[in-house]
Amino acid sequence: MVRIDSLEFAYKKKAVFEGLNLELKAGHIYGLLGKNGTGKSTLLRTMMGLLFPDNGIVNVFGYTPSRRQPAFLQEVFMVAEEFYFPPVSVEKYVKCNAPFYPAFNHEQFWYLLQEFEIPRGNQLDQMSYGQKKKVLIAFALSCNTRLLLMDEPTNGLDIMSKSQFRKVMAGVATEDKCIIISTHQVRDLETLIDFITIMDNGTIRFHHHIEQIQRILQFGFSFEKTLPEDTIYSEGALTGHAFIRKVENSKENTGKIDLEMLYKAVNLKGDAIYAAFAADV
Amino acid sequence: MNQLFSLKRWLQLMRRHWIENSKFFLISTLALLGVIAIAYLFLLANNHHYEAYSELILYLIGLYLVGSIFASGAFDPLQKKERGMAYLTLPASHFEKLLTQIFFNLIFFTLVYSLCFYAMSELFEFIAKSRAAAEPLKYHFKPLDWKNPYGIMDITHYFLLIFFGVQALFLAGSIYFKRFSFIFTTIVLALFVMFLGYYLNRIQGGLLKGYYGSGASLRTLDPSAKIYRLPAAMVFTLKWVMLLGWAPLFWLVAWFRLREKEI
Repeated sequence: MVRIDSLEFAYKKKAVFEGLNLELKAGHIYGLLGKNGTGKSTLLRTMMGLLFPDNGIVNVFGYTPSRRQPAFLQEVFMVAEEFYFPPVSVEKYVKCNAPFYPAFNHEQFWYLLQEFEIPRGNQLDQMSYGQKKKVLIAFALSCNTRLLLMDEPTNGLDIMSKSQFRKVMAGVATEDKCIIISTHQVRDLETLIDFITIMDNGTIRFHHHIEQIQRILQFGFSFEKTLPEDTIYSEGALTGHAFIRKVENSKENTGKIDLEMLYKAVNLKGDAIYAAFAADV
Repeated sequence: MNQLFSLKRWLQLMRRHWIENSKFFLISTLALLGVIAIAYLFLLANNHHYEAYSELILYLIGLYLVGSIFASGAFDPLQKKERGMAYLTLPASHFEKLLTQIFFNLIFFTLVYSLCFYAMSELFEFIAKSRAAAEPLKYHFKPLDWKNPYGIMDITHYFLLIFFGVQALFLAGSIYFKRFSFIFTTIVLALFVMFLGYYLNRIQGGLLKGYYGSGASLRTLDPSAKIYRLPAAMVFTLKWVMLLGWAPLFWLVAWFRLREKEI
């Protein structure tokens, strides 16, 4: 669905991507993780056609995003971290924007808005940031585009709203859609994501399916002072140590993945993690 | 699906633009009526001899000034990241987006401005006429007589045609300049006019020494020498290209710039 080959991109003289390769398929929710300034938002904007590659190929279901053709734009939607709403009511917003998306589902939109507890007739410019974000998420999901890009979607949402977000997201993931969520708040999305992509310095450092991670890595906690010999990564907690080690027998694995710890492990003990995955191949 | 233009999509875009900006248009129209009324009040208060010709001058000055300001805000969404992203990712072609702006600037603005001006003109002419009728020795009213034109009356239509070019320049400027597009475009326009003046007076005089231009003809200083004249058809074509060509040229520039806009 999304194929990126040898992507090179720079802001003036600051290089962001120098030969980035990535392939994303339909039917998955990708979690795009990375430090600030590693190029996550730039990557999403390149896929959306808002930034143009200096070199390389970005192909989204056969289209070149930078051409911003209507046929392409009606099949993608981006929930940006910073977004804009005109000073109109929710109803008017939907009335004048929904016709641009052929698969837009009005019933779904009003249902999602109800789930998010947003009153129907409210003026968009009088809503709080969190409420506006929920309207945008509901609109984005109701567009039913083949590609949905979300940049920090849970930023600004309260605890209840995050839970509502997870619930609605779980209901929209289908075989024909590809959802990419860029976030720092990994714990918000632990149960949603089925593919983890970690970026660093404009390169993809880790790109694996949850099932593969479960097959290879075990996330555990030890109350003892000593850790298992085959520990790849560990960090101290108040009562013991959380650790990651290579699974000996995948059947014994509990399946629980601590995304935050995995992210740290990739960044701090990258070689050991890669070695574990290389052995699986 | 046509990727360049679809009537259905364009009408949807026009409808969206209207719905999202109707409040702004209403407030702007009221403000415009207020500004025109203030200008008319000055005209009325300072003249015992009220000439409708002054209204024509006022109309043209206002048209250029307000039209330029309005056009320089045409692509305002692109000046802010969040608005620009929503605008550029809206499923419509760059051509349709530009055409919507051209419609609202060229037709909608000119129509609304002219209607506002006409309404105020009728009101203040009525006041001026009533005043002149009540005190004929003190006040006079002179209507516009298009059968006996004077001043710029017989070239008013040229000013209107050039206005579309100026407006198109400000429209292109609103994409080109990220901030203060009105100021920067005004500077560009001023530089262009200054260059044109300089070219006509100095460069042309230097390059074509011994000749002087007169309309579309080039004459020698020696009255007995040859006179060079462009063919009438070419004069006609050049004249209308110069009058009407600016707007399409700047629209084309705006279209290319919109296509390559990154946020």
